[in-house]
Amino acid sequence: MSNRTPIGVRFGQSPDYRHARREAVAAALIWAAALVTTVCLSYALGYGEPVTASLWGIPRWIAIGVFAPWIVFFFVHVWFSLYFGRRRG
Amino acid sequence: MYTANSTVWTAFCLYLLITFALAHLAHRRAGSGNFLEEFFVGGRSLGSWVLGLTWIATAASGGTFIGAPSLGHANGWVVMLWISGYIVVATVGFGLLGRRIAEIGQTSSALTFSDLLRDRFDSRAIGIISGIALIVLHTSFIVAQYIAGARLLEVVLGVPYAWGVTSLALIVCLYTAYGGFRAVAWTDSFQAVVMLIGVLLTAGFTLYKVGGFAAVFDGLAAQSPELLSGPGPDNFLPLPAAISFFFVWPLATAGQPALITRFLACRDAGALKRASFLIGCYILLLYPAVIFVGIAGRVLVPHLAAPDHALPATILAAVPALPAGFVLAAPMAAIMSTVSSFLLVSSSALVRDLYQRNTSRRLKESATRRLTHLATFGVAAVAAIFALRPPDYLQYIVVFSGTGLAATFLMPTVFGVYHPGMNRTGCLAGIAAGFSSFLLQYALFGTRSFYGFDPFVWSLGICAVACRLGSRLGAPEPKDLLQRYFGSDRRADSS
Repeated sequence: MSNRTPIGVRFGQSPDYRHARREAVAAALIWAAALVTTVCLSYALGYGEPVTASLWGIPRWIAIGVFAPWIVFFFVHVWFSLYFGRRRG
Repeated sequence: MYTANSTVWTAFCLYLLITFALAHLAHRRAGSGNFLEEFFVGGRSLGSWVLGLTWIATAASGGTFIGAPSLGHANGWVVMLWISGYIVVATVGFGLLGRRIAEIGQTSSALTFSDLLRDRFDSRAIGIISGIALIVLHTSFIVAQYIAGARLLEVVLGVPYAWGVTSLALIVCLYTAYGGFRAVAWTDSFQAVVMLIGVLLTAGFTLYKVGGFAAVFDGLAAQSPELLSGPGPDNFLPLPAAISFFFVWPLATAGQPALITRFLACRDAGALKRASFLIGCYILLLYPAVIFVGIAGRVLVPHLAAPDHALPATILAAVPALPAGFVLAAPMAAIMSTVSSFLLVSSSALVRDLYQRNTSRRLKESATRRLTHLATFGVAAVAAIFALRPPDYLQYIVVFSGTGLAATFLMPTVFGVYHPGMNRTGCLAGIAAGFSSFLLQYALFGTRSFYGFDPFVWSLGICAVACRLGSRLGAPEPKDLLQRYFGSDRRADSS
């Protein structure tokens, strides 16, 4: 992403702007990680074969493919919302 | 079929009474400063709790409480994967734009989403186009919410449909016009609490009534093994659709103008961070529970009179009469909170984006107040008239106002606030490309476009490319404008 426009002037030097941009990039990376984890696990465990296995009454592929990532990324979100960029903020 | 007793009526009336009391309190707390700033962004003073709860109450509409459990009822456990994009809705919703928009809100005079784009690109055309788009699409969405609310009142309380539409329109309009953004935010907060408690109570009672998770598993297996596995009955969620919904939920939510406006009303960055944390907790509790109610409801009430009756039918079958009234207020709270927020966005677009910023006439504060109230009642009345006789193409507009609006405005907003090289040509090109590509795909292919992905996914990419190409073709924005938004390197500047 070029920050040089118009010619000869470098924009994007405000600390507030840079902190916000860093936060946006981190959010995008967390989103991509959650997408890959959840969809890959669910597809590998729950698609194609009839489901017979359960974990405490919940289909195993939902427990591992959806609920486990949900819990993990909830803690990632807690870190992101409460600690990420706090010193800079 | 489904019957409600006087307890349900009493609880529901109590819920309405508290809503009006909160609106009255909010009105009394309103600051004495600029009327429009108070009415449209609550004096930019929202703290973390109210900001978080109003954000999620606006995001969760009638679809969350009526449509999502019905999908769970029809398709079983795979709907948990369908909704799983909500894992990162709070992270993306607040992280992508929250901090940046809040900072811009503190340093600029932007009161509306269109203001934000118009000021960033110094373009009247962008302000007018986005204002008109918001009015048309949000009013359509309000129509759909009125219909959902009136049908709920019809099923649960036996209120005739026309009376349901009229009373819902009147109630929400009254407290929105009376208290403005602050009242909407406060009542949203109360409604968000009602929604969460209602859903958790329903899920708990349903689980108890069915006999635990294992009984749900066995009950569904007996009905159809497809209810337990992917892609679900009738190929409900193939892989491209599962991937698509991971785009749709977080990014379409992040790009909703009504939610972006919330950030303009934020007090400071600390409040924003705490609100984001709060929303993460809220979503973790609400969304799996609301889908589970639909899934377990399939075992408890296998046959429904209409597909949309999954939640009310399960509530009336599983929840005892005393808490049922309170619980039934949850979907109504979701509908009312969304309507009030969208009503405010539409009236602000009319008064601020289309009138005030395009006329040299200066109105007195009393006249501005009257005009704002008139716009709020006008939008509510138009939506109610359409809800009484819904047009055939309404569903298309509703889909567009959900994901299409984000496909049109998310990328121009993201590039606009983060990329100094983005200019008005890029913004207009992005809006045109996002809008037309989504509309075209939806008309030609419905919800499954090329390679089975949702039109939203492709439109987002097309819109991003158009923004970059348009920016290359157009002239750069003036230095002082970019300096104001991004700051600049002084050494380079002086050279």
